Amino acid sequence: MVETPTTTPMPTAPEAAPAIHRLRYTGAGSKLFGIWISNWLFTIITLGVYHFWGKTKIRRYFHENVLFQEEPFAYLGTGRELFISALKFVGIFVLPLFLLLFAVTILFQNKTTVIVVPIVYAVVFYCLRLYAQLSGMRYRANRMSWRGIRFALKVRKSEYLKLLITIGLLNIVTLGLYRPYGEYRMLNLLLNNLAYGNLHFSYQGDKRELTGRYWLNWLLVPFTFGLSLMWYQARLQRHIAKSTRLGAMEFRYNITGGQLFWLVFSNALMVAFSFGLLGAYALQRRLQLFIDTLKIRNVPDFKTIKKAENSADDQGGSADYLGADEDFGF
Amino acid sequence: MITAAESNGYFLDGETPNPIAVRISLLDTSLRIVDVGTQKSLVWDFASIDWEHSRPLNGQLRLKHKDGDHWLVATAPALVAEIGAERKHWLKRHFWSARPDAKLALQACLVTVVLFGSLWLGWPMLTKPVARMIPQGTRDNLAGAAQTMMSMNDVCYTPDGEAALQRLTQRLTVKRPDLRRIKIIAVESKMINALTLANDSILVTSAILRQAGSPDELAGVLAHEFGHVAHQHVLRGFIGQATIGVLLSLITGAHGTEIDYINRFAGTAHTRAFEAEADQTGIALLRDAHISSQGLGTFFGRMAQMEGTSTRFTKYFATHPPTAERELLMRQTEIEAATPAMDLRDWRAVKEMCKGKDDTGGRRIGPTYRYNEQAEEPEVQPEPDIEDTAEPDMDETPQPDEPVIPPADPDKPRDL
Repeated sequence: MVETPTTTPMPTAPEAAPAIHRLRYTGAGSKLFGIWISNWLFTIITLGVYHFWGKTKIRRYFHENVLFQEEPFAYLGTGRELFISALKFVGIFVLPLFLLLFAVTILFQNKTTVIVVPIVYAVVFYCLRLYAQLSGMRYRANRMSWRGIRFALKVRKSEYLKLLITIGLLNIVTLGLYRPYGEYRMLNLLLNNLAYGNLHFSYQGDKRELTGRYWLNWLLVPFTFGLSLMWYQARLQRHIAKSTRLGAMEFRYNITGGQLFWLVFSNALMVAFSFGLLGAYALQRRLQLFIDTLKIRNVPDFKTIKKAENSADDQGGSADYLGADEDFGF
Repeated sequence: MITAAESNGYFLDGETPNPIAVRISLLDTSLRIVDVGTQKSLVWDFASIDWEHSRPLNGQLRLKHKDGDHWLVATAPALVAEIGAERKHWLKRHFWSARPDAKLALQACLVTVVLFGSLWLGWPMLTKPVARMIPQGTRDNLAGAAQTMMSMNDVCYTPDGEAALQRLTQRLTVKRPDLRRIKIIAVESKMINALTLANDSILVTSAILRQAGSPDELAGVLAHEFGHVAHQHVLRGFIGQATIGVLLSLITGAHGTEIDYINRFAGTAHTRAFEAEADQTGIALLRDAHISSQGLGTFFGRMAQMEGTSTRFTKYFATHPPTAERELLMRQTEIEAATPAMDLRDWRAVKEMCKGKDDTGGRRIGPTYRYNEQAEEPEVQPEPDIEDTAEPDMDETPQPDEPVIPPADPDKPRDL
């Protein structure tokens, strides 16, 4: 055990915080590109196994280079955790299921099997993917820390799955018109269960803010080839920031539909024309836009914050394995 | 007594986010940390530091303890340099023990590469017995699926054409009775191609029939495809690709681009070997049937012109060996006492198979041919006696290398 000195505020720590705070990104595109390329090469050489470690490296790079009050975030996940949990996931779910369905296909060779087996396979994997998605989010939140205190996402998997499936079905039935309500319900569940140490985030959004704009954009979808939804997406992100608090801390996110459209469009072009090689720059541009447009007010008194007991059971490997958590940063 | 002004770093205890000003000093391979407020001290041995999460960052040196979320941040440049130098030496001496994560990465990657490398190398051999075990029903299903996928269900049929192809099959398999089960099916397609299906039937497209300049050319193409049947390449390729592909994606999960490259690279090496093997078997069949390989050489020559030159790099991602090399092989192959593969009547019958109902009265059947196990074995012709074989009437027989009919569509062959 480590003997801990008593808590004495560091004299140089800022006491009177300015009204508006911002995050700062200190990463360099060239360095990130180096990591990205080496990940690509090692992933190919090692037949894909290295990607668990590669992904961890990128996540670590992003976290360590985002500073709040000149203190970097830390990413404490490891490739080992992702790899071992992915192996467990394969052993427990994927392999038995695959072998079972393979055996069924071979033993019962008829048209019904040929149609039914892929459907069963797809449905089961879709459900596993949903389960893994939350697992991945919980893992990332738990492995993210700032000044030695971890974040935590304490959503029960059953609750999440139930809501996700309900929203999915309602979206299908209403041809997508239910989407803003679904997003509101999901944000309610996720953000109200997110915490930094013992300090909880709270989301108090007004769903009416989303519905009108969404329906307008939804009507424009056929005429804009779906691009109108980009403006809704920007509004949704502004709504999330505005409606979320961490204690007394408030957020404002000033992204516009145009900015988001240009980011997505230019990133897609960059990635497509470089055959994925410039993916690192695309990710960095996304993070940079997030940081440039996020404003933070009313920083809480950190003296009152303490670490929380985390049940760090999520290992994130299943999400990584199923491609359900491709997020590298925040 | 250390004062606040003398602090050269701060400590994060993992209990609260409040930094504690500390004075850090380096003692050989450990760090002494003194709280400047309370003067309490503790020592961190280098072995107790989580080096995988500890690193220099923005001019600071950030160190994390292995037990819990305790961080020590050295901020004074001189101290950062001093600890940094010692850190380098220490990490050199304890390379693997300080990097358990990297160690596991290396082990996992090595195991995977060795495992898949062996599987990949052993694939051509391992797939042979497995291919034999696949029942006819499954082969028919696979063949039907492939035929549908390639939109090659529009079968051309004329009784004369069918009979001519049967006669050619018998001649090519004169010393290989095991290959007489092969059924050649002409299909309407703009693709200049002949390809073997999983149920040992061979599809010949209308485009290749139109383009073929001589019976020898067609016989050469078919001999090559017979080679694929003889070695069960289609099924073995399918099994090998599926096994390695599935195992790879089972291990690495849903990860796109890189795995696609690996699969393609790994797969094409074997298909190139299969194609070369089919060429060799094709030559053997042509030799047994006393049919010249120059016809196939002409075909490859035309294909090589259409393909253009391949670079050294693209060669490794190609499914077939370089066409120019294949042409050379056929050109250099000497076949004794070669006679034309078909007489003019048969050749015309084959050429007219796909001319369409309106043109020739030929009828089309379909949609999918299924290999018929009950089908009668074609009558086996005795091995032709070269001495006794009458020289074909040159008026009635086309020249092996007569001028080529220009291709109706410049599609490149896929499976030849």
